[in-house]
Amino acid sequence: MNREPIAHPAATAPASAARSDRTARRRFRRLFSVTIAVLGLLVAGLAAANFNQGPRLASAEINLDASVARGDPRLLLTANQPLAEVTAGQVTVSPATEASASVTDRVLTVQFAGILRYNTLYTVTVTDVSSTTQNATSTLEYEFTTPDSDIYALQRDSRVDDAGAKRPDTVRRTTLQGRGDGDIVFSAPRIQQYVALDDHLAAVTLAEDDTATLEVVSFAGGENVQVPVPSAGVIENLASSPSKHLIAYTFTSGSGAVGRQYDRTPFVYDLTEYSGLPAEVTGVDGLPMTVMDLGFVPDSTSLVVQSAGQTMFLIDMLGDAVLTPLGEHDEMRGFVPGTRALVVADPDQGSTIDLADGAVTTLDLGPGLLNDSAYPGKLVLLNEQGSYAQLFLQETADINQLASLIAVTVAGDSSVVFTPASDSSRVRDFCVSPNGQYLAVETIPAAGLSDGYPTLPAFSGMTTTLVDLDSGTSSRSVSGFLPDWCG
Amino acid sequence: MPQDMQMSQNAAARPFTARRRPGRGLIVGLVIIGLVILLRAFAPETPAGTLTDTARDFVTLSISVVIESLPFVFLGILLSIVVQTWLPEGFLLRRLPKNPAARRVVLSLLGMLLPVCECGNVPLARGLIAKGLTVGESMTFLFAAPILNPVTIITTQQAFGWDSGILVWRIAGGFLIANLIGYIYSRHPKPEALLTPRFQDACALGDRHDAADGKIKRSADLFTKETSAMLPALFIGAGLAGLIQTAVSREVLVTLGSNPVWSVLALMALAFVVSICSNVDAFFILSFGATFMPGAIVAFLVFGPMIDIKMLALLRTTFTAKTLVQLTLIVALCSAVLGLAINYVV
Repeated sequence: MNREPIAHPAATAPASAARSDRTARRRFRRLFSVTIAVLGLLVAGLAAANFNQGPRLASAEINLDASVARGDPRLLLTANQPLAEVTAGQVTVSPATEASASVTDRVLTVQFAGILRYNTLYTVTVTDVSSTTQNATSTLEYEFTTPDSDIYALQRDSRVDDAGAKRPDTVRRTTLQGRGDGDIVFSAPRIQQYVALDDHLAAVTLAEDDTATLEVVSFAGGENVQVPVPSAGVIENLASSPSKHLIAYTFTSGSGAVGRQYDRTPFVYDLTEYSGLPAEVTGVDGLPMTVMDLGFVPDSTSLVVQSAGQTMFLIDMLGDAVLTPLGEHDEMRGFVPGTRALVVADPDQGSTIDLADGAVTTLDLGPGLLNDSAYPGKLVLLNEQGSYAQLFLQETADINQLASLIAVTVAGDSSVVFTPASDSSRVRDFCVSPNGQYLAVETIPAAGLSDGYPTLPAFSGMTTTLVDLDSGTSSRSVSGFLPDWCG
Repeated sequence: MPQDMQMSQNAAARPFTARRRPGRGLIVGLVIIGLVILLRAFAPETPAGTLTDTARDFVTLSISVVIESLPFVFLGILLSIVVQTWLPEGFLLRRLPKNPAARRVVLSLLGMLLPVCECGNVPLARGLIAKGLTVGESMTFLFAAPILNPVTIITTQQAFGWDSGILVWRIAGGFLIANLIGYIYSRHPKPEALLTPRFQDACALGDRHDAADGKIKRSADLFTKETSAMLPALFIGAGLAGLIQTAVSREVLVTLGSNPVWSVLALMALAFVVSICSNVDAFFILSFGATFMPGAIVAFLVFGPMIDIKMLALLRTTFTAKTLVQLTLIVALCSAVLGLAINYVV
């Protein structure tokens, strides 16, 4: 076999190695250059994209529970870069709600006017938002759903069971969106009244001899706590500050009590201090006080009491307990929903006292259209603009019977929002939900029989109807009375 | 066998250089300690009172970098000695996958077992190169380990939690960049050319030692050699970091922080200047969290552990200046891409 000799092996090997080396170097340089070029293009492209992008929403924060319980809730929209000023005109809220806007660095604060509706999907849109460093604009949008509300009602049961014993009274809890009367959260042979707090329920129960006991139930479970009272007696005017875990009530000694005699003496009990004793609320110079009515300022530890002499005082129970006089008034009518404005009534006029700054505003409520044809009853102020709901009794074809109805008057324009299912049913009481969205109306059926309780007597077959004030329709009913909104 | 795998053999073929007499180093060390004692004895009780605010800031910032880094430098040196001297020949390398890409992936996770910050990784990487790891692979380890190690992950999680995504971006970014660099430099035709001549000589010396000395003697020699290489670099790097921090207004950086583009570049510049260890940098930058955008924070947390003044000074003991410029360019561009992409998307 004729093989071709390799020409100059000693000379070609280094040349080949050098060529290979050059190729390898070129390849590395190309790889490095392409990598740098690609990365450089990416940096340039992303930088341009960032320069042309307006602010984006990084996070949002709203206290949903507070949004349906307290006035003027705030939504904090945090953008990914510092924001230029935003005007109220750029903010749209659906369903329509008045709102203002302010900017601090990256945070856009949307402040709603009033309280939000329960169980409602809100969409907040802020248009033409720009950052402080770039001209590009964008639209920020955020959706949230407000929580449902618990509804409590007291069901008194006068019936007896097979063994001849009275069936227990119960407090049931459901929600606006729930069905039926809900679950039993407390039961006792005789329940006079109750108040619901965030995590507890406090109830006044009655023994057979009408002696009152105050019990506290934790929703987390555990033993019921019995609040110590000075002696056998009567507990009335039970009130609560749900978020502050405080309850207040008045105590009156029973006829057989020995020692000091209490006469509608106010006490405050802190639920976080189970081992402690209730604190007596004393009057000027530390003297015992007799009160006609009392109630907590919403979402606070301050208590408003109306003394037997009709003088009202404001007292901070966890502060210095100094009494701040609020003047003499005939009646306490609660607070305007979502505010700390106390509504008081006098024979000639009503007024509101803003407990935040002490400002007194005389109520100038225009007469409702029904005033000429019906007998006006209880009035509840719905907002600071002077809208109100009022109970009327109207004559019917039956000369012995008056029909109940509730009308809402807004800017002098009245409309009926509730009438019982039959003319023979009566409205016992009504109140407004803390956010001003619903009325809770207690009705007594024509066949209702009195239960004969010494305090807050009620009738068999009572129902509580929830009326949506925006639509003027009854949304649902639950059995029982004394909804917690009226507590 | 890849060309760069032959580096240690090539280096071993270099002429044997004379070893320094160990007694001289001891004397120099004793003299320095004596000088420090004298300096302390004659220095005023409160030397800070005699310094201006700027000088005091410079001293404080420089010393803080040294104090923060020193334990990890020594830990890295000790691990390096263990790898070079005490582990059986090929103990680590034998266990690595044969496939180059898989090898680099495993090496980028080696920091999970050897939790030192970036300062400690330099001597350790030097030790690994001396034992036969390719330069590209050592770079993968070098740049991944400061981020992909348990201490850094825990401190970042503590500072930013899981929800912000910063930790995930940091880990992913560190891993990808380290592997990209490893891949690029695995294609280098002459990897030994990336190393300083002095380090090549040291590798050759190490090979000679293997044959001649006992393990304890070799460990002592390695300790002397690594500390004399690392500590001056650390002091110079810390001094430069302190100097630039006092010279450059931090307010300028913060002002830039609110822009999606400038914030990334500003925090990368800050990372380069402050030269803070990867084990604690998350807590440092947490205070800027409200001002700077998330992409900028991720860029800070990815770029800083790989490239900063102190790290460059340490790396210069091993790599040529040209190599460091190339590495800095790649890491900076990658970090910028990551930060800008996050600012655009998140």
